[in-house]
Amino acid sequence: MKYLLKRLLMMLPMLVGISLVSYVIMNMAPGDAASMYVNPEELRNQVSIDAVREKLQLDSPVLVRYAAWLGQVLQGNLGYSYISRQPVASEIAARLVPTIQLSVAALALELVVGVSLGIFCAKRQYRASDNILSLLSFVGMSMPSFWFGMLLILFFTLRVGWLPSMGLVTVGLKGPWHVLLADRARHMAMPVIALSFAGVGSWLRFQRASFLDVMGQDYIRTARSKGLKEGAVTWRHAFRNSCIPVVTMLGGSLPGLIGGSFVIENMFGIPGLGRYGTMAVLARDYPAVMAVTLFSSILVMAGVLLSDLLYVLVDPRIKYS
Amino acid sequence: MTTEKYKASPGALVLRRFARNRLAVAGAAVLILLTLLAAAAPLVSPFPYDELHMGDLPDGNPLPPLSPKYALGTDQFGRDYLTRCVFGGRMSLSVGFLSALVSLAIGIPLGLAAGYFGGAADIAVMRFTEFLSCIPSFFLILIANSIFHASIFNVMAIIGMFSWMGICRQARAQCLHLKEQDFVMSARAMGFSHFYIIRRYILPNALSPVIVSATLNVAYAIITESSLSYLGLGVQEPVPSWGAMLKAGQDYMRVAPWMAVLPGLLILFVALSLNFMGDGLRDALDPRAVRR
Repeated sequence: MKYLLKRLLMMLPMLVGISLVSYVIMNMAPGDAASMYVNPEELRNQVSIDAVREKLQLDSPVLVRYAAWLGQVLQGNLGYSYISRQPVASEIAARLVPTIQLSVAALALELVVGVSLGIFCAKRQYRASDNILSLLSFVGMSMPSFWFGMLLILFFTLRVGWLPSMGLVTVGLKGPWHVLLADRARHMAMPVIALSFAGVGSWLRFQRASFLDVMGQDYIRTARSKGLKEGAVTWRHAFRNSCIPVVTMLGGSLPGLIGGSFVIENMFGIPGLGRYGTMAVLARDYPAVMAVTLFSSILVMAGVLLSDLLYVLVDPRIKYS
Repeated sequence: MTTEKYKASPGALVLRRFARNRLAVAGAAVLILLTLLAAAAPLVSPFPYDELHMGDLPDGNPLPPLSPKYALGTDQFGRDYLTRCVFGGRMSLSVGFLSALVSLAIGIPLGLAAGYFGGAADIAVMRFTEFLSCIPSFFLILIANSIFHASIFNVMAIIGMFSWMGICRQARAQCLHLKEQDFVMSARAMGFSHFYIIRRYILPNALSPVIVSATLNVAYAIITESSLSYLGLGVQEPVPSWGAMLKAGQDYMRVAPWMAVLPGLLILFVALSLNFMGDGLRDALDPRAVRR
């Protein structure tokens, strides 16, 4: 409990750090957010530009503005989007859910498939099935996830027409909850598979290596010499121990997962944090960009914390204090 | 054991071990071939990369591969796709290699300094590394790219600046191990300066795992560049890069699927080759590796 509090408190300076970094980067912009607000016809009219600059407080030094931003955030005010004039907080809130759904589903899929294929390969070391899967795992790690997404669209949408390639729901679809759920699943299928493909490859390689390592340990020989069945040796003695390195890597894989979901959301038109963030970046919508930075960092950090807690479940020897 | 074995230089031994890994050798061959093609792009490509041939498109749609005049077809403006692929390779490969160089230039000095001097320097560097590796850096790369003029050099520098953490960690770990070795002790006893010891005694011995990690960085940078260009924040038209070509390809997937397939295949081949090479190098450079 104390450990949890300590970890949560440690997240605060990190969030301040990352938001400061992105605030400063954005302020190196040669362009000016104010000029985007003025009617192009009046762009040479310095008075209207100055009016906007004043309204958006673009004239104070960077650190002063950062401090002001931070003060507002601490009071729960994320500011208003320059573009839509809506409160950023409510815009973000609506977009968190699709991103979380997408990343959690992809992570779960890649872990389940990667870990089980890893064990499968380790049990058939150097046989044809192991060689082919190991090769495929390299292929998965070596392609951009959005390109794999394109191949999926080429086949499942354009060739056989099974799956929709845009959005999260069929517009205007009404019906009982299971119809809506199935519709959602059909929309999420390709993004989730595209996002998880690279991960499947790397988890397969980790799990294969660590399973082989565990299978060479003395306690496995002891378990076998006791006359235990192979299934019991694999699942009761080897499986849990072989998962430890995978869980260790879990936290480190999260920034990549969120980064990948940013691209995938853009490609499949999913209204999540990544798509919102990309639009905001392209439009120099500072309050929105800052909010996306903040929330994507919180997502990653919360995930890292969860994976550290998961560690205790896999390896009871570990005690946090 | 023959005496000939002992005569071989360390370099030759590494090369021999590397040559035994067929996938790694194939990877190296593909990579060298594509790099040569990209370097000689103006010589091997039949057209300038931005030459339009709208008149050759009968119905306004891109020409498919194996058309007369255009071996790999054209894009929506009638630009020769083979030419675009070769010139795109120029961009993508140079982003890959140069941003790996940037990350080496940041990661090695920081890692060695942290490992060698220890104490506060070590803690500071390691905290900073940890910080950078547990934030969603892709979004920061995105922000930085939108802010600075979208030139190829900015893309390289920015990707490099956010991906040196693995290299730094490797360099530090090697340095921690090496600085306790007798030959470093003797160098210290002889009164050499810290800088000289790091440069002459530690750096050469710490390089091999760092090189492996840098190989993987090249693949990471190429894939990241393609994502950036796909989002419209990397290499800009009319200059081709494999990622930028994928972006255009997506809009024409229905009528011209090859436009989306070809550049992706090239990225896949290069990244795959680099991953195989990294694997082969890891085994070849490890003197304790068991012969298989």
